[in-house]
Amino acid sequence: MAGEKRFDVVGVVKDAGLTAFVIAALALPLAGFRLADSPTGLSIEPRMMWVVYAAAIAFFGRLAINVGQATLVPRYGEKFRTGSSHFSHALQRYMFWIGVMLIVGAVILPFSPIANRYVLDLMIVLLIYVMLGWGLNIVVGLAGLLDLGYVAFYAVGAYSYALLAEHFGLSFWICLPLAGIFSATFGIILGFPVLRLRGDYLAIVTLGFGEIIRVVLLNWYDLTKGPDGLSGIPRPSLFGMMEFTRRPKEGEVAFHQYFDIPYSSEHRFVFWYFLILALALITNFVAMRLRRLPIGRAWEALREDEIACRSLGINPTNTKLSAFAIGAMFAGFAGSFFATRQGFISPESFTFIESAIILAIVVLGGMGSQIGVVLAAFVLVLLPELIRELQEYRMLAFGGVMVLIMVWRPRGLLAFREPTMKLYPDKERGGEG
Amino acid sequence: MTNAPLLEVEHLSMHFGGLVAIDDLSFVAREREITAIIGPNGAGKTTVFNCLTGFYKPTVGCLTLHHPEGKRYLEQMEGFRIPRRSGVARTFQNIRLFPQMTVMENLIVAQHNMLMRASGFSFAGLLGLSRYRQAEKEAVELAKYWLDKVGMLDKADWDAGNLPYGDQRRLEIARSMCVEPCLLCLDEPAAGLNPRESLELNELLQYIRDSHKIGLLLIEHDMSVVMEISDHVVVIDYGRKIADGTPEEVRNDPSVIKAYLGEEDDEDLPEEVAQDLGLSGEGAGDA
Amino acid sequence: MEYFVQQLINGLTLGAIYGLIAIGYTMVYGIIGMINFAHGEIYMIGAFISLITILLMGQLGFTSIALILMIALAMAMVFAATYGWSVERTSYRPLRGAPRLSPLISAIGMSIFLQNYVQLLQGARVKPLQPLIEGGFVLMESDGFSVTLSYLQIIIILLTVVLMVVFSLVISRTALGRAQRACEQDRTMAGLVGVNVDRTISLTFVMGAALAAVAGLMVTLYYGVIDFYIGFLAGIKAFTAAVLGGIGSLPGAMLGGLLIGLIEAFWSAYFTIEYKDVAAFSILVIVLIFRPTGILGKPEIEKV
Repeated sequence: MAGEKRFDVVGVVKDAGLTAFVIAALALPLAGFRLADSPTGLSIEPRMMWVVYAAAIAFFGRLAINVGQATLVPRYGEKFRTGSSHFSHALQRYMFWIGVMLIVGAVILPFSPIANRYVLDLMIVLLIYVMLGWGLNIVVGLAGLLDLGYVAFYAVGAYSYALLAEHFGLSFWICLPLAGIFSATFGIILGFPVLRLRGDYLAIVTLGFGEIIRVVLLNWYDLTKGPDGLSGIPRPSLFGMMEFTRRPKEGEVAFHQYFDIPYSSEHRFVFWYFLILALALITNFVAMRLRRLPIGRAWEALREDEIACRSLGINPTNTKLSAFAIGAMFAGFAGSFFATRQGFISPESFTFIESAIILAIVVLGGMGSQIGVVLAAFVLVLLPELIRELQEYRMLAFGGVMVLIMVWRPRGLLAFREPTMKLYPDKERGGEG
Repeated sequence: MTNAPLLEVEHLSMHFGGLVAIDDLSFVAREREITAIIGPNGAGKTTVFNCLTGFYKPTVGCLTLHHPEGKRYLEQMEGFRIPRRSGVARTFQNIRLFPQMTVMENLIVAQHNMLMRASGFSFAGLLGLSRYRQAEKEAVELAKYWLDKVGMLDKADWDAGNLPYGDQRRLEIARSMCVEPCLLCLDEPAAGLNPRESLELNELLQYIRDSHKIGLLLIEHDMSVVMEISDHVVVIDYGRKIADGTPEEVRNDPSVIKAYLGEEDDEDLPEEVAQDLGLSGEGAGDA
Repeated sequence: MEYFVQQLINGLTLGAIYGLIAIGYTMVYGIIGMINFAHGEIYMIGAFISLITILLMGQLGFTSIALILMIALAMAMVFAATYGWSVERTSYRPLRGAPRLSPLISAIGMSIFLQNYVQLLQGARVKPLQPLIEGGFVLMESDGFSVTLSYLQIIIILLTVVLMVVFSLVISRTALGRAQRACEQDRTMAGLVGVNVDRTISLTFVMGAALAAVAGLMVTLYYGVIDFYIGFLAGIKAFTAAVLGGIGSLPGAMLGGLLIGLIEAFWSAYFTIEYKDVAAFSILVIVLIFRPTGILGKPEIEKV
């Protein structure tokens, strides 16, 4: 019927107008006026055009969205929905192979034509975040414990390595497990006070813990050199055998000498790349394996219903502490890697924003989804790096993207849970709904 | 020949501040028997369960469980240790499954402690040692056994949260049995079940009692379940025991009738209620 | 002794400011069960709007301090309320049925967004303001140290008390307050009996934002300098205060605020200033271990 098909033009325009009005109101005080430095202190400079632009963008943007919803959705909405549901089913089924492809791609990347120091460096940063995401996934995704202070364990790992190397001259390979142990210990220390806390309370306390660690690192000058940070952190050698320098120390063989190839500073980068790739993959494999063991199931059961867990004889305290400890351990490993790669660390690298980014990676990716973490890390970490020109707007976009993805896909980009065991492995997933 | 006592509740009292939820309750539940706890709403029945399973600490009282390996004093034990050391398992009034995990996984989680030991606290498991793989196989067998008994073998890979209501109740019972308890506590297992499902429930509970030789403790409102299958009934009102005996004895006890229905004459009872309680009153048929 | 009293006064003033922000947290947590991570940024925005209004009035030739402040108060409250409303509408309402973590991430994202939004629009440098209200009473004196109670401090504390009373009355006497309490206890049922749940929640955000804006104005006058980052730290401390006092309790939020303010003042005075932020956190952890529901909170009984 003609009357039903035509959409409510007046309503749509009114709606857009209202949106524009609200945006104008929001923009007026902060965009419309600027605090400018002047000889007498601060003065106000009007900037009304910005308000007008903002209102205009809001008006037309909202209009476009409304019109789109009214015209496109009825026509293509159903097709889009079935299409995307088929897509995600297919994705689920081939998840394993997608993972394999990603790993293979990652391994051959350094030998491909597009690889250079810049690209490798970028990938190293990405892999650190992916590793941290996989580690935090154990605490947040599997055990359901809202940790907003994960960066603390990252910091403990980094500083442990730096201090052990400086004061005891231990090599990276010995410090790595030690850093993991230190971080795991801190994980347990954090775990104890929060055992009885739920949800957002737990979040705020873990956030506080992260801040406490950062402030301590900042102020305990004797130990950590405070804001000056620790520098001169030694680089790792190839399993203690070969160095990656141009001129090796007395009696030591350098990498390029051993293989009789000309020295290139790229060797070290490639080595770092494979090192972090290995660490990240180990994190992933261990997490996936633990998921199929009683401890992993206990984590997930705890997340679902703690009271039911107690009624089955599961010790909630031990279960929670183990999740914190193991998650922290992997953060510790990542921290050590970070320290050795940078050569210099300071409390600036371990702020709350880092915890937020890592948590965002886990949640945006879809909790429990390993590949989701990779995808989310790519979107949140790599994409901003690639759009270098808009560096100023990076954090703004970051916050905005977080909100947008959550509103669009509350359960994360790839949110399906793979059962840890199937009685009938060949059958399709069943069940209503 | 009477069965050996399995659970001895002696002078149990539970006070919440000024509120007396349970007042000097004593009874005995025996092995290979189904003991039902009944009473009007708010009488304190679930509170008894919560005391037995470590969710509340009793204000006063002794709760002795006669475990094959020795006596266990439940009032002193921490909640999660009770299933492990005393073999007491329970289901919940409001069904507490792990909704995002599959039916199979729910049953495997119930065998957590056995599997943890076998996995060497995860280390043997991480290394893929056969000791763990063997234990996991056995766990799966036990899960399959109970799935079969509750008729849900074909839904083993369903997410527990997607199951229809009746299946969820049965899954909870199957899960409790996977703990391999010696005392199974069921909180209103028949709630929301239609008559056919109640009948199946009766068969299941009787099977558990007869084949696995454990004791069952049941809170129920559904009299068709209680009267059909209980060996022993305890009636509670306002936290106090007002009757204790066989179903027949309890059925005819005037204080029980009074508690449920108030001070009414039998003649005023609606016919169905009188039939349910097995009373012969005016106009009511045979019990 | 005199030093102690001075710290007491300073702590109470600081605490009043934290308390006003904390009320916003506690009301929102009470009604939708989530931490409004972006609330701290609303406070910061309130501070900026106050500053801009004050300077603008001055530039336009207004000279009456009282008038300027009242207009600044009004502007800050109105605009901050609009921000608060918008944040709820865009970032939280669509996520009402979503899993626990999603609104939290959305809130953190909004917090980051607002911080950088202000930073980009107004610059990253600190913004100073000359003191507008000077002078006060000298309460006691000894050995050359005088305990002063400034006019500004009196205004802050008085205004806070007035606002507390007004909001408590609103909560307990008005229909809105009743609707709020209904939504806190059982949102579905409240909707079924005719409460406009969406509007009630929006109004809760608006009220909390308005109070935060007042706190923003106060901090601009009291410290004389603001920047885009003040929201984060004050936000955490204010939430700590809300939890300390008992989440969901209005007097609890104020009590928690006062305590945090006092702890901070005394800690910086008698111990070290570096760890003062950490002192509040540590107190929080200790309180949550022994009394998870806070000082005035109602113990949550879990139905098994």
